[in-house]
Amino acid sequence: MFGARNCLLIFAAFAVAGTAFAGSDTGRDGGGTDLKTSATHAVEGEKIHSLSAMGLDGATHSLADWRGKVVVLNFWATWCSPCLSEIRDFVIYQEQYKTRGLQIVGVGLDEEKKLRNVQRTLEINYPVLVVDLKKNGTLMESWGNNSGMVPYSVVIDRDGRVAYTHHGQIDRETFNENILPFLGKATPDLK
Amino acid sequence: MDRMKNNLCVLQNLAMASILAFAALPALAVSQALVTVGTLQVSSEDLDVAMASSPFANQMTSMDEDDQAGLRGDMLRRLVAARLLTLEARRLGLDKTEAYQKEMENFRLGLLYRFYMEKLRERIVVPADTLAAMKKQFKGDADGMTAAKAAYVNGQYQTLKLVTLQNMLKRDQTKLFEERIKPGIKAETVLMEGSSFRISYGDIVDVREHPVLPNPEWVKEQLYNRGEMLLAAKAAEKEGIDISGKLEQYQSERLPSVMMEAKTKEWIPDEKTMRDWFDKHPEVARIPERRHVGQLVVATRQEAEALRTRILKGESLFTLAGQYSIDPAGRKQNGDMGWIAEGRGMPELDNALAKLGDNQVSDVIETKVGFHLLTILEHQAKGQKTYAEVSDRVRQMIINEKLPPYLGELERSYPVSWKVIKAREEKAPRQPEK
Repeated sequence: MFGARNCLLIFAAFAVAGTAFAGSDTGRDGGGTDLKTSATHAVEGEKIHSLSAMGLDGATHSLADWRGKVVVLNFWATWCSPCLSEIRDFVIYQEQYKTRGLQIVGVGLDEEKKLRNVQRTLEINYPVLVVDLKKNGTLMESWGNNSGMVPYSVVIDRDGRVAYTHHGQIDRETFNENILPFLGKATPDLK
Repeated sequence: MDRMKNNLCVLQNLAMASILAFAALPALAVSQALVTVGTLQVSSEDLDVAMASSPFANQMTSMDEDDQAGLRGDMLRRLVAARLLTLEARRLGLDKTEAYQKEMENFRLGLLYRFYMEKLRERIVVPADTLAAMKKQFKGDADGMTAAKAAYVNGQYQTLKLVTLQNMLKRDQTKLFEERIKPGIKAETVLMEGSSFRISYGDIVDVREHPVLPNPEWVKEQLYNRGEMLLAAKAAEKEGIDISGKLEQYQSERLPSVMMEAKTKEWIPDEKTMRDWFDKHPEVARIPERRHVGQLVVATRQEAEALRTRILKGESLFTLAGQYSIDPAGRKQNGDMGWIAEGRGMPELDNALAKLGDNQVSDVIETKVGFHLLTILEHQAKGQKTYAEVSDRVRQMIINEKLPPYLGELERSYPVSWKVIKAREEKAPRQPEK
């Protein structure tokens, strides 16, 4: 518990630093691209307009890629212990519920190299978008997270509306109660 | 130092090779022996468990493959060393001593107590209506929900624990003799007695450490704690709670430490040994001079000379470093290299810094990297620590010196066989020994 809180507080400090330096060119070669996201706050029931970013696979992804699926947008960072613990569960959920329309999408708020290493080590089986916080200091705010803490998850239903937001780690009980009900029955392919 | 390096045993060379092999080793679904050490082994599962509980477990997740392999190799080497020490400890009968047996028994009782209490806690269920109210209040707030549930369970647990212990005391017809806690009490004086257990003063107070009765209230507290632990442990035993795995794991960690404690006493029998070592190695207490350094590096001498002229005319080395330095890290920090201890870094630069006063600009210094200009913002003078200040370090240095050859000796008694190398040697050639 202490570890988790510590982790979150550090993130808060980092987020502030990111904002403070946002206007200055420090020559840092962040792997992320600018996120094109609507300024609409992620309020449950509201429709999300757009989101696109470069993935670790090198391709640009947008939410439209997963239209018709239940998307869990999971914001995380490599130094955040609860995030890593949650990702281990997410890998299982993605495999277990892919035929029921679940699409987890990681939003990595960190250096691309580190994100790539975590993806390899934890064998992440869903897309991870790379976000350079210095260029996207208010990204999470626009998705309903004013605290700047991770992990943070936004569930987007099949109609593109924010169905649920969650601060902190999603455990099995939370997943069963708040995400599972949006998934349909198993089908061979829901593309 | 060179002698020490030469003394490094075969174990470490093999471990280096295993690091290479590890780079290509995928996570194994089934546990397999990575190394056999005499009659013992280190399995892939042992290594995974050790890595998962290491302080760098999380950090490791985002490391490069080679760095991860290096850490795994290093941990494997430690586990092999632990097995060697275990085997030697057993041969010497260190696991049969009274002190060790008592420690193990106390650990076993503590473990049984903990398992019993955990089971008690698990029986507590948050009623449906209370749970529904919590969910409503903490919707989307996982931490809040967890804290609310924990607070409820804790409250119920304290009550349940008290009632359970009271029932146990009654069932066991436990008698308490607190009035016997008075000056003159002997180790064998019985302070608590039930039909299945008895606690004497010597069980809760080390009479060698406390020849005179300590604070009676503290003694009573020890007595209650011990009584509670014994009753719960007995109940756990009756319920058939199996803790053999945990006990085995603890022993496998504890016995190497006991062996190391014994060897350390042999290597460092007294303070004089440490002082003698300190006298022979005064460098261990030396505090090097430290300098807060500014640096600018460019590709040609001509450019460096031109920039030096501009600095001498009043421009800032730091501003120019931010614009012109070919060292990306240095440019990013506007040439501020932070505090650097003497003897660190490239010798050409270290020599130049040794001659430089505060706020002076060096001549152009050529290295394989480029042409450097240096300045020092501030100095911290060199110094010497006292023996008392470095005695812990001296102790550790002696151990570091003695341990590798000792492990080498053990390896001759208990052969070490690296299966991981055999499995991968065709793909990962062994590193040539230096």
